[in-house]
Amino acid sequence: MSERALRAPAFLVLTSLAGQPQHGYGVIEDVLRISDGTVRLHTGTLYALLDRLREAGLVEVDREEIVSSRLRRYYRLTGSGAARLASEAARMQRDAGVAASRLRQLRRAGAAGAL
Amino acid sequence: MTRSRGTRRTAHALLERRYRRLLGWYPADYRTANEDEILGVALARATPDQRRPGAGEAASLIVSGIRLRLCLLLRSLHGPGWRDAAAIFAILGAVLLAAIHAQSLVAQLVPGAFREAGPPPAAGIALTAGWSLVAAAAMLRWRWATAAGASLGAAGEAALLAARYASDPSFLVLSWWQLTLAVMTALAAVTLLAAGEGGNRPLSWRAITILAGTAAVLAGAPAIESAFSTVTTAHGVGSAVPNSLSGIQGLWADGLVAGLALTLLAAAERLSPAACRRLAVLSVPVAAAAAVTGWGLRGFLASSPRFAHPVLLAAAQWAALGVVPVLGFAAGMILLGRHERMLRLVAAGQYDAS
Repeated sequence: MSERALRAPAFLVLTSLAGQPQHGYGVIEDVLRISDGTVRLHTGTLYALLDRLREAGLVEVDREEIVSSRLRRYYRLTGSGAARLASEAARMQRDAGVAASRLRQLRRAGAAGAL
Repeated sequence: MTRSRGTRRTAHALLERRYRRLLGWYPADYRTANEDEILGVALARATPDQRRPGAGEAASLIVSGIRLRLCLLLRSLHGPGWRDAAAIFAILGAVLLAAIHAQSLVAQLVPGAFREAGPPPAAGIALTAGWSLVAAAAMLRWRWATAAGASLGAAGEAALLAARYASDPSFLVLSWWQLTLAVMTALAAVTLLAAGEGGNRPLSWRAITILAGTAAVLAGAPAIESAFSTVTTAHGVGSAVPNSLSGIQGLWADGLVAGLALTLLAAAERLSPAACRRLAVLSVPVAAAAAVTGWGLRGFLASSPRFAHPVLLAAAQWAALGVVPVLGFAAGMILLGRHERMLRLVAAGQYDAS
């Protein structure tokens, strides 16, 4: 997990937890907000993701609360989770920069061809 | 208003019950640790009058539960329990199959042997040699050779039965347990491959010697039976009549197989209880196949040869042959999981066995 590029849902979950420790429902809602409504995590998917991220040491349990006689577990980013998110964000930024620069070149070439 | 609140409460209870049922797809230990939390999130997402989980929610819980179970199973294959059990089962299965095929060859050579006709000699020799090589490869821990050889052997057993089925369906029924054993041996060999490197030598030299001796006795059983029978002549026709020792003749094969099982126990002295339990689970489909053919299809075996044209198996009989061993294996796996979970709880002091 540490070497491969993170998939969009995992990246968004880490991003969500970078803001503050959150419980499962909070993460789902936050991911929906961050992704502008495009990524709607199902409950099973969220917990499969959280399990994998916990196993990789990127996320850990922050605290547990009992709300309406039901357990609510809050998760937070670990130090290596923050580092991983930072490197992933930098990689995506770099890739996005390259894509933008190539698109600019393409537009310039298109404009020159039109002349 | 009150009625509406009551309806909502009923809907909520119904929804919760349905979500709990969906969480049954997850392993029990995981459920104990996380069910409450997951349920809380799933219910928080529901609309006030929702009675059923959405299709996407249900699918995600089912898929995640199954994936988690498979991950746990794959992880457990790397543990010593499955590795030891698979290694020993691969040896025992291959030795038993080699001995059974050798027995058919011996029966064809010994006049007056009390044995059913086996496969053609060429096929019998090939299968005896093949399974002996698989057993040797398994003893030497050549995992790839064991897996490839056992898979080929199982395919060979199936081809043999398929080729003879149309003319002699009883042979297929009588040999079904052998095919099941071959398939389970191949499965054990592949499990060994998935378990990766590691583990001790599967059997001690003493156990291997006992095993080889038992296999030799099993293979030579027709000659031994023949030696203990007398030939009487009635109306000019000679027929072999078993003497006092042959009271056990019908049980020879079963007795020797049981002897082989005892050898397994002797070999299992050094095995962990976890490996012994897995060995038993791997043996369940073979026992189930033998039970189906011995009891369930007893009538078919008695009546089929009486007709001039062989009577083939009906769809329900095929289903019984195919499904019962698989169900037996599934039941064994479930019981194993439950038993070991209980042992873990007992060890953790969370289960009162009384």
